Amino acid sequence: MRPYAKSAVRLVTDAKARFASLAVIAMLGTMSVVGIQAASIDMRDVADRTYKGRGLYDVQVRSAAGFGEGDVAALAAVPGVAAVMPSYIVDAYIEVRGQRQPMRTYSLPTGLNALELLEGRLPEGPGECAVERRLMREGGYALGGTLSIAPDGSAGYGQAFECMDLTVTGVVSSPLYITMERGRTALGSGTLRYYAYLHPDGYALGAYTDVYVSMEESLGIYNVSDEYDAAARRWVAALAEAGDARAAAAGEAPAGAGSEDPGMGPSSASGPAWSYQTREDGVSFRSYRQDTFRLQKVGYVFPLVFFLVSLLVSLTTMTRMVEEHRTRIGVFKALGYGSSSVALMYASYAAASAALGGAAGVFLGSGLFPSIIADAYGHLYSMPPIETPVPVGIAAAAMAASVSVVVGATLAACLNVTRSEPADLIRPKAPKAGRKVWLEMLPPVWRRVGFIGKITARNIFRFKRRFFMTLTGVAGCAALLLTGFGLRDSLAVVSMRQFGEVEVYDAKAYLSGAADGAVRASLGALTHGEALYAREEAVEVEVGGQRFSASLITPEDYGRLGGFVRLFSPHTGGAYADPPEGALLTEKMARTLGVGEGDVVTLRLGGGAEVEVAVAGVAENYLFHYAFLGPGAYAALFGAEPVPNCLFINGAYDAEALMREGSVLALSAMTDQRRVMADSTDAMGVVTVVLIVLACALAFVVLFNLTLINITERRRELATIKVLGFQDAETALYTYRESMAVTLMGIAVGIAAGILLVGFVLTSVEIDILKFPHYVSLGSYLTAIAVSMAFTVFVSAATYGRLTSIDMVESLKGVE
Amino acid sequence: MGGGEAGGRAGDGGYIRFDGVTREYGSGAVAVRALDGITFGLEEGAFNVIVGPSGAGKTTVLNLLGGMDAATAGSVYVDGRDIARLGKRDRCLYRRNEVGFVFQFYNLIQNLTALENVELASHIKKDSLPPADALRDVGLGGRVGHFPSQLSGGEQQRVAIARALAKAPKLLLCDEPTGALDYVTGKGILRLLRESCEMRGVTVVLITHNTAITPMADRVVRIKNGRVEAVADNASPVPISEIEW
Repeated sequence: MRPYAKSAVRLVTDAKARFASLAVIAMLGTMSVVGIQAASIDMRDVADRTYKGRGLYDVQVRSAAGFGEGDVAALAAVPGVAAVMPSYIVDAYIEVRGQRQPMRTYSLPTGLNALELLEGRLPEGPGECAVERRLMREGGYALGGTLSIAPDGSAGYGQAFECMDLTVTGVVSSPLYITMERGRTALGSGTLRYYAYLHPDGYALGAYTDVYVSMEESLGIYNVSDEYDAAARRWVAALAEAGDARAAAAGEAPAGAGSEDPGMGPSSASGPAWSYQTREDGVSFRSYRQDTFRLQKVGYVFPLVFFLVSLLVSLTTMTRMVEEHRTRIGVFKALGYGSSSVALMYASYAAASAALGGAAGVFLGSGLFPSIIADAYGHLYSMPPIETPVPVGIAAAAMAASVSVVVGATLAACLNVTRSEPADLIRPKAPKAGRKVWLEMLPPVWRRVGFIGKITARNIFRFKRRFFMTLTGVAGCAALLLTGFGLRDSLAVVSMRQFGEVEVYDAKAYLSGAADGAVRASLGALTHGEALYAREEAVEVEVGGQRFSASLITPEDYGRLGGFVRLFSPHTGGAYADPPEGALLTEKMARTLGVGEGDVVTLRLGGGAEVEVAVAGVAENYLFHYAFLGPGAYAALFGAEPVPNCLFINGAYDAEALMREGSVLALSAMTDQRRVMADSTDAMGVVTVVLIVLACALAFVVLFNLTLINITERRRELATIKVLGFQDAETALYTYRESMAVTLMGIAVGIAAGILLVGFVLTSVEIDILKFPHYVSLGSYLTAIAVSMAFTVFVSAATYGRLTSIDMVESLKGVE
Repeated sequence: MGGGEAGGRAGDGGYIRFDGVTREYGSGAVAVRALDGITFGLEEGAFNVIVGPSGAGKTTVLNLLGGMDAATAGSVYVDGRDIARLGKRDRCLYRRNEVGFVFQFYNLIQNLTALENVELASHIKKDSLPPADALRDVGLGGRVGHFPSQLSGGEQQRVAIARALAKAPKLLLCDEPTGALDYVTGKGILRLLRESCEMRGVTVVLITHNTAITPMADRVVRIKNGRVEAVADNASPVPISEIEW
């Protein structure tokens, strides 16, 4: 077998460019799948490690009535419970830059939810606290400084604290907050801004508000998985049984459904009940997890395209190679080598290139991508840096897929040749016969096609496989580019649409108390344009056990709301100008809940009031969820007038004076909201850029490979053309015209496929508080088209040298 | 015809004249000299045959005459112009406007019909013959819509000749035009070439290793080892029907 082995090795050394191009395509395929999947896995891994390492709770049990030592013991006695940690959790206002912002305070953890101390020390007495870094920065605090809990006004949390002025002793990072989202509160606008930790002695409460529970089973399960979620539901059921038993023993009502938002501690609860929340109920954990799965889904779509194209490329490349070697193969067969050993030689050539490229793709992908992507997401999460091990399972699957794709293509290519008799192989193959193309069936059209156009049309359809392959290559590139750009457009447009078409006010002021005549007069002097008082509060919208956290907005004068928040139907575009006979829900929430006009939903306010209301309509909205009521409907439903607690402002206003105003809790300017939104969409933008770069690399390799095949396969024809007196440029046009025509067709197909793909990807990556408008700008279409064309032109230019260097003497030789 | 008339011009070097032409491939120690200071002349409107064994340098002569290659030294005059001195672009224009090629393996574009193959040539040359007429003249008026694979070897070579003649060239260069054909078909092709020479006055240069063809030529140049062995004129060329090989 020595000469056979030598011949096999020489296959590689004789056709280095071909070997390299197969390897590069395999590399791109595996790199894209392994890289993005690895990023997703690495991000989940770091979460799993962090959750376990910090002893994160599995279930949080809340009680409006509070937990006594007996309650805690009952929970600890539930089989499977590893640890229980009774805690105080109370929300309060603090002053940050003259504005009152809602902050959540926790008692220092003991055993579970371990804090990371970033600076200073933990609080050691009732008058001390540790805060998160964001509060240090935005509140301008320093270690040793004083953080004052603002007087509670009507909120009623004042008696929960021993001291209202706390010394900041340290900066901590809590495992409960891994994203920038802080969740919701019953205070103010309903959006929580900060968190802080107090010494347990800092609370003047008789009973614990919450008990964190960790389960023994949890450590053995991958924490960011469906398996964990299923287990968590089991744990909740087990704990609820104990809770119900405890409640029954005390002669109380059984536990009701869980509430997502810890309120302001024990106050005016309608009935003492325990509620159970898993991590999945926490907005922070949920959105982190959703982000990683979004990434994973994107990571499935793109590699599919890559694999499809690489299949076609290797098929064409290997077919060409086997065709070129038919004489050599004939000699091997004539010498008595079997078909399978000949096929094996080419299959191992292909396998070697795919394996080499695949291995490079695995290491580049898993080493490079996760870091880039995690870096992009980095400022959205507070997570330790990821580790980037090679994801063995995915890597093996991707390698196996790319090797088998190439080997399969090679065997298919070999089949024809190895089946032939050696004598046929040694004889040169007759050139592919010319054929009429379907266009000729339409004489009126065909007659109008110029001579060169006819040649181009014939040649395009002459090599069908290469035609489809080029088409797919270009189409894949254009589709990926359009998807990349479309993703970016849609992300960008969320902010534009939300703040340009829906929320069209300039600022919103949250009030500390009732908007009485004096308050209105003083605020009126500081706002120079339009202003509208409204009530905004946290609400849960529930139907059939599915819940959404939303903001309920009730304007004082519904007729004027349109100047600040435009409510219109996403389908007809028609505005909801009149006060609705029920609640208007925003589109994403209504769609996810599966409700439409006329359906009944339950609204539950932070204070516990619960009403059923008919859906009066569905309104377009892109960010967060809202419910709207007319003032009359509010009063009828809740039996109380909607006391305004916020003020929509349009036009000029005196921001600094408003913030200094005692009646103003906080002022939120639209420009800030846009900036926050831009930050979070930037991360996805980085993923988009990675994909665009990959798409370009793919397009280049495919087109380069094809153009070279096109030239080598037609050397004799091109040499003849040159002898006939075609100038270099004319000869180039003779071949490139085809590339251009196929490129144009490929772009058309690719743009159509891209529109579908971008829709699919956007649906996959959407998170629950966002609705992505499926929007691709004209610029993106043009860029995708231009870049695809530029590649064809660039590749043509790069291969021009090969074309002009074709020796005319080739034309005198016999058929290859 | 032609012989006596062209002979009158032999004094000023002939219509086509190779003047001390050398062509080397490679350089230094490995240089191969394909033509070694070759000198001969060919007559306008005559049927010229260049004959020699394999490796004699015939193809190099054809390449130089066809403007497909440049000489290392010496001059190649065609109608008073030294084409060995032309730049790449001018050589291309020379091929386009003045030379018709007939190849051993026809070199038709497989994907074009007979008519389109002829159009391929007429398309780039002004004052060319109508492609359909060119095909009719070679006896293929009824097969214009056929693809090369649907034609016999002789028919394909006729298409190739039509393609060469459609350009109304000054010079018809034929490289072993009967090499891939059987005896009868080959003779038909030779007859067609001879007729084209006589009726259109086009200068034919036919290159072959088959010495049996030489009696039909007006002038025969014998080449061996890159040098001219002999140049002979036939006062009365033998009709093709009497030639046998």
